[in-house]
Amino acid sequence: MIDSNLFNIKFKNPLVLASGILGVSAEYFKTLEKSGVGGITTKSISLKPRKGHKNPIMFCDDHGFMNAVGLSNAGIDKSIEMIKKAKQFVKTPIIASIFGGTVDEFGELSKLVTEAKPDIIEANISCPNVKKEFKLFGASAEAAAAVTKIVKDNTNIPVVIKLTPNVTDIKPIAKAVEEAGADGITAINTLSGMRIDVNTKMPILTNKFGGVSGKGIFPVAVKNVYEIYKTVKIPIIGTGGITTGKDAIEMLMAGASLLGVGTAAYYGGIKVFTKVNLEIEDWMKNNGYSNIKDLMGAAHE
Amino acid sequence: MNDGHIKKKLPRQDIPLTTKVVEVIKHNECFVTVWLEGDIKIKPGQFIMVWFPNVEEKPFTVTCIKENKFSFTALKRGPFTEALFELKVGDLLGWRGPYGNTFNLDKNFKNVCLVAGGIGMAALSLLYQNIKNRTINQVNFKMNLLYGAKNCNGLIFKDIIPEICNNNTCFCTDDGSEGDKLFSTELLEKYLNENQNEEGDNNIDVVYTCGPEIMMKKVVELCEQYNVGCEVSLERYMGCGFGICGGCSINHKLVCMDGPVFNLEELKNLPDFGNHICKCKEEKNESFTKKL
Ligand SMILES: Cc1cc2nc3c(=O)[nH]c(=O)nc-3n(C[C@H](O)[C@H](O)[C@H](O)COP(=O)(O)OP(=O)(O)OC[C@H]3O[C@@H](n4cnc5c(N)ncnc54)[C@H](O)[C@@H]3O)c2cc1C
Ligand SMILES: Cc1cc2nc3c(=O)[nH]c(=O)nc-3n(C[C@H](O)[C@H](O)[C@H](O)COP(=O)(O)O)c2cc1C
Ligand code: FES
Repeated sequence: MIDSNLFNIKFKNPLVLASGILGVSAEYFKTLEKSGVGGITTKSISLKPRKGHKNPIMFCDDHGFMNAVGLSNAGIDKSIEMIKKAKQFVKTPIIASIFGGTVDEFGELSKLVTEAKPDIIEANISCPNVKKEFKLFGASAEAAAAVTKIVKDNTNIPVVIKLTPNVTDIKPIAKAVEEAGADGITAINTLSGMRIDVNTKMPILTNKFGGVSGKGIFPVAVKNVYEIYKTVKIPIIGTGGITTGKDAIEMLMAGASLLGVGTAAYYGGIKVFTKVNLEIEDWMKNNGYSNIKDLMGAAHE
Repeated sequence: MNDGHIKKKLPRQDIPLTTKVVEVIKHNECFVTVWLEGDIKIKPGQFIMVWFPNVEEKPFTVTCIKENKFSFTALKRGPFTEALFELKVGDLLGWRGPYGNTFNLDKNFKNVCLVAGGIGMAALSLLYQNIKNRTINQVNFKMNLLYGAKNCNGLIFKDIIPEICNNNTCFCTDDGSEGDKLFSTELLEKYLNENQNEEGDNNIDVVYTCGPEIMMKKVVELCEQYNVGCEVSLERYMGCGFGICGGCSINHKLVCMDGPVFNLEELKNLPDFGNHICKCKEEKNESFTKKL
């Protein structure tokens, strides 16, 4: 009933663990699979290992979760090993997230990561937390298209491009990415934000600024997915603030084909995946749906 | 604070709460205890993330709780713990938590043993005090503490919780500068032997331990050999403390969520237990490693 399909890859349910949440250790993928995820996105991978920012790198208040991890990762060589190992441990489809500092780096990463045979490659051109070091390719249609083209040219694996909501208008960027050959779009990455501790008058995150995720950004995510669906024909992995089955249904109706879920694992632990899946099934039964496909883009009819 | 789907046992603070340092005790050049203003609800085994503005944020165990103040004790290892030595009364530190699971203290336990190595005593400190308070009127309850350190300067919890200085505590040091010239694991072996009856059964209900991982590995082996329950408190690098960053993973588990306390059954499925070499200054002791 909730089994999904993207690029002819079978997902036992539409919930994909979003990049940057727990996707760092191959052995832990086993635990994630048991928790009911439909797909797993790795932490974004760069050519060289990165330490990321110093702690504090994340916290949560009543309304939003904030992080500025700074894209810490083991680098492409170790990550390839990790993905290969993970593929022995789990059957769940794996999405390899990559990010580079230049267009050429994206090309090289695409070529290298293909060797690990992930099911999908996701190019992260939208991390708001490393602006000092990296250009935000997702902020311009031309740059986004250039990255898309080079990533596609270097692999035969389906490619999705992850977009940022921190732009005036996401539509032309989505269009440019589609025209450059992307197979799909993931939206959204985190919203840029900041919190200051009033006693010390200090920004809490070491990086000062961070990305806001979780429940609070759900309306922003729904709107972006809705607009992208109107603009392009390629499928969307709708991501941002999904924590319940009802959220999931709403995001599907806005136009998502699969659902990215990250911060919900903070609110409810990783068993949240099983819970959301059950809630989706319940809602479908109660409302006379037997195929999840019928919900996709329903808000546009 | 979060209103998760899972019922939290204690209210949890997930954004650093900054509060005043009310006392700084430098025990010697390696150990420092910091008292923070405020109330905290935390159970033995759990930990907090301490934020030192402009420095970093690191996991620590709460060692003592008094009215409107609580303390943690640190061993000097690197930049963060070095900075703690520079703190002055009135400075501000942030904390969030509590995180992690707790030691399991079964109501039926009658005989428990705590094995501490160096700063590992920090993780057993609240446990010791809680058990002591709970069992004060139980004449037939037995708690023993086997507390070892590299040398006499490492046994700082004699100052922090003076009540540990009693007949049921055995001290030992690697160099013999205080107590027996033994490792705490050797004390444990002796102790397990003494508590064995003729049938080979042991009347110790559980061993709680925290210290260098190589020491805890040996403790676990002994407990298995003598058929005694055991709970260890593990240490891994922590980025978040609440199960999102993945930094603290050990095999298919997370130390911040599934731990830091693990029992014998759980440890059987964690082959990486014991392979974690701590590079910290005090515990880099080759003779210790060789002898085990
Ligand atoms: C749940 C938990 C509770 C803790 N409670 C206490 C406590 O009560 N008192 C206390 O003194 N310490 C405690 N620690 C350890 C403490 O967090 C580290 O000592 C501290 O992070 C060191 O920071 P630093 O900047 O001073 O040193 P760093 O520069 O971070 O480290 C110095 C050296 O120690 C090594 N190191 C640092 N952290 C770890 C680690 N987690 N595991 C293995 N090696 C490490 C590094 O590799 C480095 O070589 C606890 C750790 C955990 C996970
Ligand atoms: C701690 C954390 C780390 C993240 N790291 C990455 C990352 O490495 N790459 C990436 O593309 N997105 C990253 N993200 C963004 C998420 O993948 C997701 O797009 C965003 O959090 C919104 O979804 P959510 O509300 O379900 O978490 C991260 C988010 C969080 C909370
Ligand atoms: S410290 Fe982040 S997952 Fe455990």
